[in-house]
This record gives sequence, C-alpha cells and structure tokens, in this order.
Amino acid sequence: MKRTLLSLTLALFLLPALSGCAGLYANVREVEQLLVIQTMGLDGGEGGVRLSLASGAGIKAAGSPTRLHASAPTVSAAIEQIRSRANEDDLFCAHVGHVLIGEGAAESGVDAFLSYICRSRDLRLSVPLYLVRGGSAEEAVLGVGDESYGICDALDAADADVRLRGDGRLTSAAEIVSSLARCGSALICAVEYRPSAEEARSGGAAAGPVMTVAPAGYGVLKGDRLCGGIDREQAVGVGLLLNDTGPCELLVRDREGRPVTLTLERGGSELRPLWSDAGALEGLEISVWAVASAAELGVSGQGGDSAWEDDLTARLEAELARRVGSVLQLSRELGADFLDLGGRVERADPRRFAALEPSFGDLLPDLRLRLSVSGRLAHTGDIRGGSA
Amino acid sequence: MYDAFDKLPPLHPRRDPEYACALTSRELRRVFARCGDFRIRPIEPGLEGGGRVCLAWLEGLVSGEAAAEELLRPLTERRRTGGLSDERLFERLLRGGVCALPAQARDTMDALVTDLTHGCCALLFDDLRRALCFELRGGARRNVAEPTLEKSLKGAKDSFVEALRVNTALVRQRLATPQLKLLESSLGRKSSTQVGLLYLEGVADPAKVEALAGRLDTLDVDALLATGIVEETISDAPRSPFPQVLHTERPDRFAMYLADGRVGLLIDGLPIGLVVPVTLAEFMRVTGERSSSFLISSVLSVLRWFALLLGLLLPALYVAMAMYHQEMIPARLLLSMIAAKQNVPFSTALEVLGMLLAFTMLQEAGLRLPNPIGDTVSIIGALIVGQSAVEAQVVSPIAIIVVAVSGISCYTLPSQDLASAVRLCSFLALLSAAAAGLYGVGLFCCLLLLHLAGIDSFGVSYTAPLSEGAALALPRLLLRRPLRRDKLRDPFLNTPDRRRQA
Repeated sequence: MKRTLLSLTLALFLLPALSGCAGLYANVREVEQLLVIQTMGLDGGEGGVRLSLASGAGIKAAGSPTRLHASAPTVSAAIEQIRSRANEDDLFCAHVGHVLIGEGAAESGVDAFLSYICRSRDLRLSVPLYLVRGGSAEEAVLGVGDESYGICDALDAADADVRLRGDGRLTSAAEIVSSLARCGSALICAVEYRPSAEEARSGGAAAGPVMTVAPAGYGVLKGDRLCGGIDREQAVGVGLLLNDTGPCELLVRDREGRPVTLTLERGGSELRPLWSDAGALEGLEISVWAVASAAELGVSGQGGDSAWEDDLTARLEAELARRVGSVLQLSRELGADFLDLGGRVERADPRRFAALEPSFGDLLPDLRLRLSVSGRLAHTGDIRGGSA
Repeated sequence: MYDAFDKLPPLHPRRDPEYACALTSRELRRVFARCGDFRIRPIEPGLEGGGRVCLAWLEGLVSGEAAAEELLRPLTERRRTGGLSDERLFERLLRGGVCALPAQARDTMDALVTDLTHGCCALLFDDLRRALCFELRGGARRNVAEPTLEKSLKGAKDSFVEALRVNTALVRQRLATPQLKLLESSLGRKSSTQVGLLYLEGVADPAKVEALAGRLDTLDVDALLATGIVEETISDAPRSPFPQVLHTERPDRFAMYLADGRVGLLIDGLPIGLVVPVTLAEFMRVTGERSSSFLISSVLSVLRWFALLLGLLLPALYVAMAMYHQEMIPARLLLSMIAAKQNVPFSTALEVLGMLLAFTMLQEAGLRLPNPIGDTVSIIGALIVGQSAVEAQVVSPIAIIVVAVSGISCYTLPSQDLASAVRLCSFLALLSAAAAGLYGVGLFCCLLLLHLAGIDSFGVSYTAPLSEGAALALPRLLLRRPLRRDKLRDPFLNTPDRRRQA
C-alpha cells in the first residue's frame, strides 16, 4: 500500500514534467485580469511593423473598447511593447477573431504577417484575414466606432453580412497560406474604411461621422503581395467559379428597360480542360449554372408570359457571364490562379496535368477560355400573373 | 503505537452457550430479570389445578388475541388436556393435537430466549426441563404502502416493510416458483436479526450465492440495525465511495433482479432489499425503465449519463478553463464572464469550492429538517442568499450557474448513493483542476477510471459491460434494447441459464 502511494505521488509530480506541462502553473490567470483582444491590425512601418489592437465592447462594466497601438521591428516585439504598457491587465490574444492588413502593407508583402500567424501560440489559423482597401489597418482599428462600440463589432457585422450573402466569403489565414502554397496566389476578403450611415452618437454633427468598415469584395495576392482587387459586384463571379454561392441580388433590366431585381439562389460551375492531341492544355471550357428568382419587378402581372421570362433569363445569363468573365479576365491578366482552376484541371486529369510544360500558372494568360452560362428563373413571385 | 493496541479491549469472544442454565421458569425469570416487558404465568392444563406449566412471552411482540384464542383456550379445555401427564401433554402439543399452531420443542435456554425475543410464546415444562415455542408474532407493524423513493407510473404500488416475512411473501408473490430459494440466518449477537438470502435456483450463479452466504457468516457484530453494516461486510471494496450493493424498496424490482440472476438480501427490520452483484450501470437504471418505450428509455438513459458527467466534471472544467485555458471559452462567453467577475474578490477556484460547499450544506440542511422547514431553508438558501451574494459581488453569477447545474445533474441520478459519491468526487476533480487545469482533470479522470476498473462485485467487474471487451458494449450500456430482442441475461453474471425468453 505504501509503495503504491509512493509511486502514485511520484507519478503525479513527474507526469507534468514528462508530458511537457512543466510550465503549467505559469498559465494560471484569473479571467478578470484579461484584456481580451479581438481585432489585430497589421501595417508596415518604417523599419518594422505598426501593430494596432482592439478589444470588444463590454469588457469593463462601463468602459469603452480598448484601442492600443505600437511600432516595433516585429509583431511579437510590438505585442510585448503594448503588454508592458497595459497596466493591470494581461493582454490576451487567443481570442483574436479578425486580423486586418493595411493595403500598403499588403502591397509590400504579407509573408511576415502570415509567418507570425502560423507560428503564434495565441492566434488560430482559422482567424479571418481582411484587407483594408484604400487605407491602413491602424486607422480602421483605432478609428472605427465610438465609446460604445468598436472595430470588433463592425467586423462582426461585416462577417455576418459576408457569410449570409453570396458576393463575398471570409478567407482564413490557413486558406490563404494554403492557396499561396498551392496556386501561388490567393484571395483575401476586403473591407473598406468609410463613414457609417449613422451620425456620431456624441458631439452631434460637429464630431464628424462615425466611421465603420464594410465588405468590399476581395484583394488578390500573388506571391505574397497584393496585385489586384475584385469589387463586390464582381465577387458574385468568384462564388460561382468556386462553387460557393449564397443569396445575392442582381439588378437587370427587362425588355422594356424597367429595372428588375433578381435574387441568385444557387449556382455553380463545371470545368472541362481542353487538351490537344499532343497532350498540351489548350483551353478551359467553363460552364456556369445559376438559379434565380425575381425579388422585385418594375411592373407586376408579367408572370406567365413565357417570352418575358425567357428574355429575363437571357439577361440574367448575360449579367452573370459579364461578372464571371471579368473575374476570369483578371485572373488571366494577373497570371494568378486565385480561383484554383489548376487544381480543378489536375483533379480532372492528374497525369496530363503533371506533365504540363510550362506550369499551369504560366499557361493561364494564354489559355483559351470558353465560358457558357445557363440560367433558370425559379419563380417570379408574381401572384397576379398566376405563375408564382 | 503498540501501547495503544495493548489498551484495546480483548477480542470479541462468543460465549457458547450464552445461557448455560437449566430450562426452567425460574431460570428464565433470572435471564429476563429487570425486563419490564417480560411476562410469565402458570397455566393449569385442563383447569385441573397444580400449575404444572408456565406460559412466557414478551409483551408487544406477541399477538395477545391469537395467544388467547389459539393457545390458552384449547390448553385449558378439560376434554383436550385433562388427565394427561407432562410427557403426554408435551407430545400432544408438539404434534398439534391440542392447538393447530406449529410448535417447536426447545431443550436449551439459548434457543428459548431466541424464540421469545423473536415474538414466540413459550410453554415451559419445568419438570421436563423442556419448552414448546409457538409462533404468535404480533405487535405494531406497518402496512404495505406505496414506495416513497422509487415511484413508478406503470409499476406496482407496494413496497417492502420492516417485517422480513411480509417482504419474503411480497417477493414470493412475484416469483411463484419453488426455485425461489430463501436461506435464513440470524445475525447480530444482541439484535439477533433475521436475514433472508434469496435467489433463483438454476438462474443465479451458485458461486455467488455461496460467496454471499460465506461473507454473511463472517459478520459478527452486536447489533445489525443498519444496511451499512451488511454492505461494508459483503462489499469487495468497502473503502470506495461508490456503492457496491444496490438498494430497492420495490418488491417488483427486487424480483426482477433475482430473475436476472442476481442474489438478494432481505433484513428483518429494514424496509429495503439489497442486491448483488452490481455494476455501475445498474445504478444508472431507473425503476420504470422496462415499462416505457425503449426509445424513450434510451434517450433518458443517455441524458442520465450526461448528467453524471456534468455533476462530476462541470465545476472542475469551469475552473480549469477559467483559470488555465481561457482560449477554450468562446469569446462572447469569456467577455460576459469577465464582466460578471470584475469585482469578485475571490479566485475562481475558491469561489466554486465555496459555492459547492454551500450547496452541499444547503442540501444536508434540507434533508435533515422537517419538510416545511426544509423547503424554507432551500428557498432562503437558493434564492435569497444566492441572489444577495451575486448582488454583493461575493460570487459571480456564472459560478452559481455552474454549481447549480452540477447539483441538479446529481439529482437526476437514480441512486442517491451514487449521487453522493459523484458529489464527493466532484470536489476532488475541482481541486485537481485548480491545481493543474485540464491536465489535473485528465489525471483525476484516469485515477477515477483506474479505481472503478479495480472494483469487483462478487467476481463481476464494476465497469461491466465496458470491461468485458464485448462488441457494442457502449451502446448496450447507454441504450435500452427492445425487450423482444433482449433474450439473454448479462453474460458477466455467469448465470447457468443464460436465456431470459424464448
């Protein structure tokens, strides 16, 4: 019995060390001592990094979101600098839910930031990355909101917007790193820093507009640098080409020029590589399909008119072809396979793909693209026309 | 240390015979001297005078009406007992020639005293130095009533009472077969408590019956007045907080266990039946499980197992995550936890530990006090003190929620013994979590599993069927199979007859 107890006690003392948890007790901290950072902004600075951090609202009983910033040669050094300045609170970055990268920093290269995120013990690889289009991350992190809400709340709202709609998608650090490694380019979700619709809550009009961030399509990374962008309207094409669509509104005009709003309900694409007899890749045949419904008609009572519906379907197809085409065109112009077309070709014919000379990325600008769009109007919702 | 042993009283020697004296009314009076309820009176068989025999009994244990009607009246009728010598009268009474009561001849004072203390009437023949004992038990007895703890909507409405014979009859009514065997013995030197060991011959494993009988034989106490004495004696791991003997107050449930191949124990004076061997899973089953749909029973069973885990680990997991692993808590929950705990002066571990202790004290207070006061204490404790503590920022609301959910989860467990063990273990889990976070909780779980896996109940692993290595053991543990498909008895019970139904 004594021997058992002795062995058990020894095991209890030794197991933490053997399991690599020897530093366990250094991790003890009470929740109320934490300053929970939810948004991180990364910008390039002179000889280093400008880091900006923001906590969510409601951490302190009557406090406003905390906003902090520092410049240092590396992100870690900047965090340490901020940590030393945060008085009684312990900086807690494990709950960073958004990382913003300024456009300038993205143009200079995001490799250092991605490297930090991948190696960080705090940040998760699933954290969404955003490009601040036309601005810096610091001004978004420090400037959005007022005393009652901040960048975290604005980005939460933008997240929900992007998730629900089909004209954008969140891009996590893991996805970007993986796409850069696989295709040499990647899409990064973009937001723009702009005045919000509401007036400043305190100080009246003299205090100026309350700033916010809103979804703004995608940025395109090639290598590790920002080389282009896709606005929100064209972003529908990205969703269709990536088979990741959601509901979004498309404005078309009917044959009489009246505006009609169609809701894209679902859609996708199929890709067929066109090989020459010699085994060279000559082009890609991309078939896009989409199902939409009428959300708003200029004049009701058209339902049941098949000619009108055919015309509207044709206009839907034309609109989608325009958007998908512009995305494909950008991909070709930049020579950046951010749509992972190469991956789809490889899955279609792995052996020929492996034998490709030169690589798919180099071939892409000169490939012949054959795009076909097939649309269907699910319903017009026109109760007076009888075909609802 | 050895001195301390030296000061111990000598071992518990058993005097045999206890009363080494002649079997006479005079000696019997001496044995029962200063016993206010002892009664003895001379009887004249056939009213012939002389007072050759004495009738002795303990008042309150014997039915006076039955004694007068069935014993005294025929004994004093001249045509039945007149003109008979003591020897002939003794023989006639023993053979039932005078009264229809079953009689036992006693030749020793020990046997006579035992019979008297168990509610018999004794007829002493001083000249013969012998006595006849008639079973005329009477006195105050509780009627068979509805179960108070194990209620069932569709089950029987009777429950065990304090009288062993009534209890055995209740079981016999349900298992009307001579295969239901009842081995009786008397335990406790002073209490001389009747204990009945019940099993179904051909169904229960004979080795388990022998083992239980053997362990009962080793029980040598002065008074057997509580189940704990028997439980600790027959348990394989008496130091474990986990129950190893199943209690039930329902004869139907008791009979069901016997039919499953288990061995039962009924103790005179205790309105519950004990069942062995048992596994942890048995303590998670409820009375009416076989009376409701297998689907509903299965869902509720899963819920109970989940409640077991919640009761055991929720406070520990909360402390571990709040103190060590904040990254595991969703951001919004963490923010509200921070806001709620902003001005609380205690650490999370101390806060939860204090609340758990308060909850346990409140529960004990509620149990010990009479019903109306108990309810008031619960209301005052739960509502007023809890709310005031939160308002005064002594504890955070989330700690109260965690402790309350854990406590309520323990209430969902069918066995209060198991719930108490789980509650005790939750304290240990909490201390482990406070000391080493999730690592501590993991270590605690490993040690707990080690402990549970080490318990045997009469040769059956406490963690069966999980420990049996059978396929689909976990679903069998969590879910209840449709009864039509449940054709075989549990293999780990090692029953000679495995088949339960055709």
